[in-house]
Amino acid sequence: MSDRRVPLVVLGAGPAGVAAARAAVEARVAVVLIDLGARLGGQYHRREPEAFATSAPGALHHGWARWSEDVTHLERSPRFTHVAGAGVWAIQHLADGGMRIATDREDLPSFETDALIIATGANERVVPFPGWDLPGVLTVGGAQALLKGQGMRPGHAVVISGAGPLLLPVAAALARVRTNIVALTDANDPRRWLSGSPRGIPLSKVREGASYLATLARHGVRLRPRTAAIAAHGDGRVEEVVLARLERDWTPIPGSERTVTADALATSHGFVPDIGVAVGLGCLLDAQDASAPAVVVDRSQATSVPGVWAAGEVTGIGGADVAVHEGRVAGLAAALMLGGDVDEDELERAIARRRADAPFLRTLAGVLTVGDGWTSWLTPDTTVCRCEEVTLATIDEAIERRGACDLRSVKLTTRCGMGHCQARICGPSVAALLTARTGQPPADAGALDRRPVLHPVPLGRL
Amino acid sequence: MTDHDVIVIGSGVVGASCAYELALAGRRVLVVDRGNLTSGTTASGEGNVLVSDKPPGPELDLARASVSRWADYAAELSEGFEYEPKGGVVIATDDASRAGLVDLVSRHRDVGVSAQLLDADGLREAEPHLAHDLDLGALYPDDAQVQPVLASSALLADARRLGAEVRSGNEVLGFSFDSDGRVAAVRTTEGTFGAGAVVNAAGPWSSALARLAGTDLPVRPRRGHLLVTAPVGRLVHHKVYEAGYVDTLTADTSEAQVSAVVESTPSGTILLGSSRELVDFDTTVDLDVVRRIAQRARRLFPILAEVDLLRIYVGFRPWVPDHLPIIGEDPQVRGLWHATGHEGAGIGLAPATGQLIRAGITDTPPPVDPLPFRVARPSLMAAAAARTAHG
Repeated sequence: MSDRRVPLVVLGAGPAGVAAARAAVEARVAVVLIDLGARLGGQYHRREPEAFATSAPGALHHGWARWSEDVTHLERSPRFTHVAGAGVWAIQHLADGGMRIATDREDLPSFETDALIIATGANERVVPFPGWDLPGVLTVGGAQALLKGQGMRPGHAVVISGAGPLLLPVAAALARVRTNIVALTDANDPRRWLSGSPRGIPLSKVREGASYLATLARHGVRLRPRTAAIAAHGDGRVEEVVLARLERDWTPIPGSERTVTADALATSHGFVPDIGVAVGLGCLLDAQDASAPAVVVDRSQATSVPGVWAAGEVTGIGGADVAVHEGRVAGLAAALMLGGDVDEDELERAIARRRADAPFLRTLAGVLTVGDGWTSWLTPDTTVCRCEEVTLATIDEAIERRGACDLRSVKLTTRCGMGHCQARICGPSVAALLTARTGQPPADAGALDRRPVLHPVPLGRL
Repeated sequence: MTDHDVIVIGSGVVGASCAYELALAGRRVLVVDRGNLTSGTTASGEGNVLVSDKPPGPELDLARASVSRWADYAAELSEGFEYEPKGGVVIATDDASRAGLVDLVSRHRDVGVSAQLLDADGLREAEPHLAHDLDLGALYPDDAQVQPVLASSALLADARRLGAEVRSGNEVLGFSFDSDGRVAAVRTTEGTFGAGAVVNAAGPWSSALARLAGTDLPVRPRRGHLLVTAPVGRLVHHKVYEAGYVDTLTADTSEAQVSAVVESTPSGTILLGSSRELVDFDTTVDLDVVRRIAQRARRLFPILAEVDLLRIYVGFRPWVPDHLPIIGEDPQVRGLWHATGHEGAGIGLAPATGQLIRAGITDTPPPVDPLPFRVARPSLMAAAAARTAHG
């Protein structure tokens, strides 16, 4: 195999990866940034294709100015290589301490590198419920991608339901293009942070939230707190959505159910760090929440594995601003180790700025919760793993009859998480169900994120 | 006064079969595993139940007894395990393996194993997607496949129904002996458990376990890679492997031996093996080995080039120098029984191994002659002596 050896590879072209790459390039370290997307931006700064470009570029994006400046700077740098449209399918530790990064790009099959920054971000979490696998149900992020990417609405009558900070901007964006929003519900009570009372929430975030609410109000859309879509029905696709009021722990309040007519349901319940690369490399995890393990990093974003740093959502959900702060620290710290031109005061300043995010992150952790009560939305025949069509009954049978009491046993006895998404969607649900059934978190948290094949690759490409 | 009659150490397929067979015989069984249930070698295997890869001899006898016992299990266990008596097809991919395959088929037929040579047309009929230039193979109708983790958990589940106790996350720390030097109890992280007999079914970790009991086993880990594709339906109808596979079984090098083993599973995925390396417990996925397996598999089935690779398993087979399982009581530590050293054939050989252990402990007639598998056999003694001389 003829591998190109490069000093530093950054995985992920979102806010953290781009900030890391920029910091390293400024320190005169050559950087290869690899990402599945065609352009820099990741999921957060997903840009309209040129053909759909609106008259006000970035109208649908937050923090556009700073982002454009970073991107322009990077794209002009001779030290920067952007490997776009490349799926990293495997990473192998090498005997000399380096790593081999295998991609599915035929012209650039693999790289060897001395150092790696993991900025793989997060995946949307979707809590299962009866009918969530019907056509017409999509994630909130999926609805956003449809709108930003193809200028399309998800349906004629749309329910937006779930939890977390993505609901409001996507609902507002859909409202702006005159989508018929039948209902907008959050399983938690976002008024807690929209009112600006919790400590550490920056005023800019509160203002941002208020502007979304104002937009929604102008279009006659009201946010219903502590309410969720707990079932979807339809013949071949979504026709009806069942909404229910929830207790604080997301247990439906009996008698509060009502059914609305809709042909699309956008739903997701926050984010979970995309830790697959880190798990494969053996990085230490914080699995306090077995449903959403995060990569453990030190003050300079170094993981427990030498030569590997992590930045952004993969270290815990914190949003784009924190991701940029972490990316800059990781880029500078990696550059310093690689002999780059790094002023140590500059690194300390970057670390201090990231540290100042701590109160915000603590508050955020208290706001972005998934209540345990969702497990009561399911019936025995509810699909939990969509790829392999594994139902709740099959999982319960494995736990009760076969004695499966860890994630790997559930996977190997039910096929849950073995399909194309490799547990990215069902993994958090399985961990939560196992915790609920056995009364304790699984001993092997993160096991479903162990993916020697990170991204499916045709055998003919090997 | 003991808590249990027998303690089985290891919840892989061999330990599970021992536990089930002993529970059937009315013994009070405790199974302990230091990790999660069935999470070691069994969880990274293909589920081979093969007679075709074993030349006439004691291992073939054990395999034939096991094939028949797997069919019993499929009929009598409460939980399913994707048992598929679908037959195996062995392919000669080069001139060197042609003569060997013809010879093996003839020797197998001499001892009553069903085997039939296939020409180009016969191969095409058996496996329509095979490469068109392949023109010699052999069909072995008795080869079968099981899903190894489901099989183990099914055996453990029924062992439990028969009164056995199963404890995961419980690591053995040492042994206690009675005044005659017989094993009397096992000390674990969860306490001390008394028993009249202990079965060491710890696979590649069984030599470390034997050392805890003050004895020695020449078992070493032999690493393997297994590739799994995305679900594509039944492209492959039998367990198909190249004849050179049989040679890699006995080539004891640290360099990876690779030969193609290809089969579909009931879930529509295709399993691609195999590699063999003596490289200690190193779980690193070696991308060069992965590529070589993919290339050899495509040599048999060119259509695989279009199929997505989805998962890779790295596991460790319990290797022994004379390539024969070790099944029997330890001559130095009475009451300690070994059921290990099956290398890559543990799934296939587990049922008869369990039966042999059951026969030994309950002093009842064995399904096959146990003598070739005894711990103190000359071929193992010679290997042990050589190690001592080098050490």
